[in-house]
Amino acid sequence: MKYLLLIYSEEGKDDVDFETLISQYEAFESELEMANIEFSGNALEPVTMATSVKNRAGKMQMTDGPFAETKEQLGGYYVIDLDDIDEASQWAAKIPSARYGTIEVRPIMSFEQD
Amino acid sequence: MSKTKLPSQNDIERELRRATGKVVAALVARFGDIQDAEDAFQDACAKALQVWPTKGLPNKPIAWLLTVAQRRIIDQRRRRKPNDNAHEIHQRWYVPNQIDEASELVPDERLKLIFTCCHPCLDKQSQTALTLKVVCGLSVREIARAFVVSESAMQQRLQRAKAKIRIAKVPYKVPNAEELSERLEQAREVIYLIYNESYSSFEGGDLTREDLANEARRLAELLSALNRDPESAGLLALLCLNQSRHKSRLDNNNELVTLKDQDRRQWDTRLINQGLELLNSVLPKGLTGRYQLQAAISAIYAESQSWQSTDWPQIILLYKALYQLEPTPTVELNLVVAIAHSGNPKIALNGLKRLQPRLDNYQPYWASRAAIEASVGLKDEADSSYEQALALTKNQIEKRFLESQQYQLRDGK
Repeated sequence: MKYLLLIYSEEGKDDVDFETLISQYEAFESELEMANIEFSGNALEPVTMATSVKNRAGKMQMTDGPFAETKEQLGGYYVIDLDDIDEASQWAAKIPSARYGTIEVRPIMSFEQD
Repeated sequence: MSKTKLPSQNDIERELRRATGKVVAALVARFGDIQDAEDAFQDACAKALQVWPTKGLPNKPIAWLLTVAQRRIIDQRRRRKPNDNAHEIHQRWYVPNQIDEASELVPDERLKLIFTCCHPCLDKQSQTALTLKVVCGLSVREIARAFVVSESAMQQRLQRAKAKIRIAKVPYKVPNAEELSERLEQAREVIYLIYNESYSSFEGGDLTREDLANEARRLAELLSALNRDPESAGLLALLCLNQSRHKSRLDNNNELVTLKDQDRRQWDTRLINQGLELLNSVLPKGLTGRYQLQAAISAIYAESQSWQSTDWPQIILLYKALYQLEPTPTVELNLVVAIAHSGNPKIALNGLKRLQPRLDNYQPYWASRAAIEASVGLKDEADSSYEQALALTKNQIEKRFLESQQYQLRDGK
């Protein structure tokens, strides 16, 4: 069962400096590797670098940012393969940014018949 | 089938409701999906309603229902997977009649179902509604009424909860040691909410409501048997002690009788003793949880020979300890009311005025305030507090009670 873990936090409001945070993320990922858990993921450039794209009547439209009102922004994600929501939540809670941000756990839709 | 006496419609319905949690839990354990389990159980109930009135109750109704429901799921899955070898599915899914009803179908199956229904990835109201539906067998209509929402809104809420359990993969198991204590606390909260529902809304269908209280107590019993932790025992003690007074809360004319005026001989001594024993068993470890403290308060009432001899100073101490754990305005209200009963209504009135902004829309606040104001001769104030309380009361029995109190107050003017 695959889950998408979306990492939300206030940009520029990490509770440690950038280098420390990166090393904490590295430690988190090596813990996943040690546990033999299949995962992938990335950090994202700030939301000020985002572009919103639509296709309306065959015409591509581009706007700057989404610039949502919410304080917390999507800053990165993992896709992780686990048995159930309890396991997914336990790993989500270990993501360094969970200390000051929020991790949204979303089941990835499966199109296979079970 | 025993053919000696044919069951009435009521007998059958009671039997079916009693069976719900056990059968659904066994089905989920075997087949893994709550919706499938519920649908199959509904079909088995429909079949029971056809067959039992003329053939009588089976010797083992739960085993009977489980067998019928299992067959339905197997048939359904066979249709869904036409390529599978039917025999193989039969082998995999069909375990006929290995149901030991004497062991009540292994209580742990229901416990897993409780933990699934009370999973923290669902909001609290969905947890409570789902437990009432799936474990206790209440109808959507009854649950909708309890939460004061429309039936279709409740139906949607329940469907969403079940879909989330399936799609996000909420496990069907007793949580591991690491999570257990927090998950137990959440399950206790849901059981307590169910009990409160049975306690507060006793308009119509008395029997059903008492069933609900019994069901909450059975759930608490399961929980306490599993973990033997003091707080689960505390919850069970609290439910036993509170329920011991259930029958004396209404008089012969179906009018509300407050604790002060209840006929103490009507209290259920078996439940009182069970509650006291449970409480004594956890006392050596100290009263550390909110249910244990509330049970201790309820025990003081249960052990008092009369209203006058109630140990108010002890109750005040316990409410203060409870307030440390749970600093809410409703706990403070109970503390203040106990202070009034201990012979200090003036101090209590000051406390009540302080609480007003936070409890302005809380019916028990105005009902308590009215009674205390009346007790110290503040007739006009009491009268207007009764008005406030009445405006916030939906329950007919409570309404009649408040009106009669208000009438007495005006009459004595």
